[in-house]
Amino acid sequence: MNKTITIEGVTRIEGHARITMTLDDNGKVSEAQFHVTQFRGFEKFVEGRPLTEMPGIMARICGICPVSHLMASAKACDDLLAVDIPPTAKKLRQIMNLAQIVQSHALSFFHLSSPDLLFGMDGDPASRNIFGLIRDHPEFARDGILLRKFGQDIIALLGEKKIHPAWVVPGGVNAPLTAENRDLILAQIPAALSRAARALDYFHTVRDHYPAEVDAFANFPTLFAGLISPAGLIEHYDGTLRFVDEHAAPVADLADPHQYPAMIGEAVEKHSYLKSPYFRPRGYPDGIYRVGPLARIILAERCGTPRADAELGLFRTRLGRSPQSSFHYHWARLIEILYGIEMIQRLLEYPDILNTHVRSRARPNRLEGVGISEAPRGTLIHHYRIDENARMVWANLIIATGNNNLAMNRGVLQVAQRFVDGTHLEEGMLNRVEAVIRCFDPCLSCSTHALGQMPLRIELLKPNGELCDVLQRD
Amino acid sequence: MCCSATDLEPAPIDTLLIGYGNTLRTDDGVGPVVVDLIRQSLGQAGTAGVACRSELQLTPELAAIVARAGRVIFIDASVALPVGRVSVTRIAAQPTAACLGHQFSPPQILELARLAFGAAPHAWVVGVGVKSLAIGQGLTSAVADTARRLARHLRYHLPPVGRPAAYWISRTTPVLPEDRCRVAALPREI
Repeated sequence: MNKTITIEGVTRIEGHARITMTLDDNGKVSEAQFHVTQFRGFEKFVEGRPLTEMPGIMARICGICPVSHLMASAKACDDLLAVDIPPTAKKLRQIMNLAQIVQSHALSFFHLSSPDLLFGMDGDPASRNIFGLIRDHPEFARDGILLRKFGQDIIALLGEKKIHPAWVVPGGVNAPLTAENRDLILAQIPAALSRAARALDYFHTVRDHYPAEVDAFANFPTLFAGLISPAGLIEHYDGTLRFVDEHAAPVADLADPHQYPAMIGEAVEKHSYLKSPYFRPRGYPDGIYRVGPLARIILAERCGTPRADAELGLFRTRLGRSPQSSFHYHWARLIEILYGIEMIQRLLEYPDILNTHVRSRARPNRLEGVGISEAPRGTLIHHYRIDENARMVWANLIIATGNNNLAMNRGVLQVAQRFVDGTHLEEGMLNRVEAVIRCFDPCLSCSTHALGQMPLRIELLKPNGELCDVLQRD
Repeated sequence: MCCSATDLEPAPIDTLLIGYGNTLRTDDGVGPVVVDLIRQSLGQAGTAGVACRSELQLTPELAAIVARAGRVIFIDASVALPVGRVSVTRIAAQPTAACLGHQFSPPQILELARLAFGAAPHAWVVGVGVKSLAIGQGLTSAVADTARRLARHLRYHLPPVGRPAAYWISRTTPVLPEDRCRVAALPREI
């Protein structure tokens, strides 16, 4: 008879999930599953709403990455209007999207994952959090707070508020950038670059301390997917959706967003509310692929900004072009922070950035629209259909985290089989099972968050249901 | 330990008002509403040394602005208080190991400000008893009335225009009582 371990309330992720592990008679993990237990339902309840409301409604999917949903939703609406948005509006959207990438990556790396890296996977759980971090590594933690603030401040300067700004609208943005706000942002760039550089310095002191984790944290060959520019540069707003194999060789390019269903299938598993997208030509589940920062830097020939390219060069010298371990998401995330800051500066220095023509206006000219952009966690797709009165009749969303669902599940199994001894549970074992999930930085949230109050309780049951062992984290 | 001037924006803040809550959940948005009322009453020119923030929730980067303030007043909805009642509670930085995400309590924000920036502003939480947390915009009438009176009361205690920051802080830091009080008495009582 099998036994089951449940991690109820996976911590230091965005949202609500649990992990179950089934043990065989020898106490070894035979199966493991990552269950996403919260439900949004946005695809259904937007039906009947006017398309002009879509960016504002869809941003409410999440309080952590509302900007990402704003972008994909607005792009789908642009498609419905059949307009090319003004060049300045595109640059402004890119700036906000990159600010979102910077602040989100800062939260993920500094607040959620670095406690594991700086205190060790087996470190005291009482210290393995942002407060322990700030006590022992104050400059590092301060840099994390201020890098996140840098991104949030840009979002607030552009959109008037940092969470759920209504500034991105179908056809562009609803207000131009002022010279004063441009200068405020530019003045923060040097300090932000210094903080990102210091974070990388810190990371380089610990990245080689975890060979076992590198070896077992979702370390297997898969496809990778993400946007790429026509010049082969990393891209977060526009471009071609490319799939590459485990050697970074292109497998397929999606030039027309409307054709994504030919490339991406969407499977549903009974154990989770999170869909399991797969690369359709390879079928389910063999069409497993990964998205997000690691995928993006594997896909791209280079970043296209000097500091990020220098760090990418170091990454590739050390790990090769296409490292398969998801542990390397951390390094990729830091490279993207550097890139994001550099690109924000470059975009702000364009001579047309203060132009006041920032919105194209039109009535709907199509009944179906698709918007694809890169969220911090990976490729995000919004697909809408409207009726003749511009009211929504159908929506399909492929959320960035969902793209990684198959890889996260396989990663949980791999790390559990490597580290979990079912005859006696130790907190560090289970922390590693959670830590592999944190590499992907999944965002399972809608706009309410109660993560800090979520207890973690792991029970090991005998075949007859008798409690054999328990770990509790309040 | 205190950060260098380049780590933060240079201007100090006498009084930082942070109203937080979800304005799409009716009375949960009372904190942002109170802060918006105060901001409106300050007018275009504002008041030197006063900063107003409306937040959906308390996030870690707020520690950076809290660290610049002489005193901080957090305004939040409370389901523990009777509808329309206000509580004023003095708070301090609170070490904790429990916070594992991105949402923080006022004492945790103060702790972040203390550890990261060496700052220890005087701080209070002003709680407002709420009636409804249902989905919807706008406050219920009882809570809206409380919000208006609370905004007037807090506005009364902000530094007058033109006063040097240090002058005001030295005389008004203990302005808020540390115990609970009835909102009906608030405008005259303190």
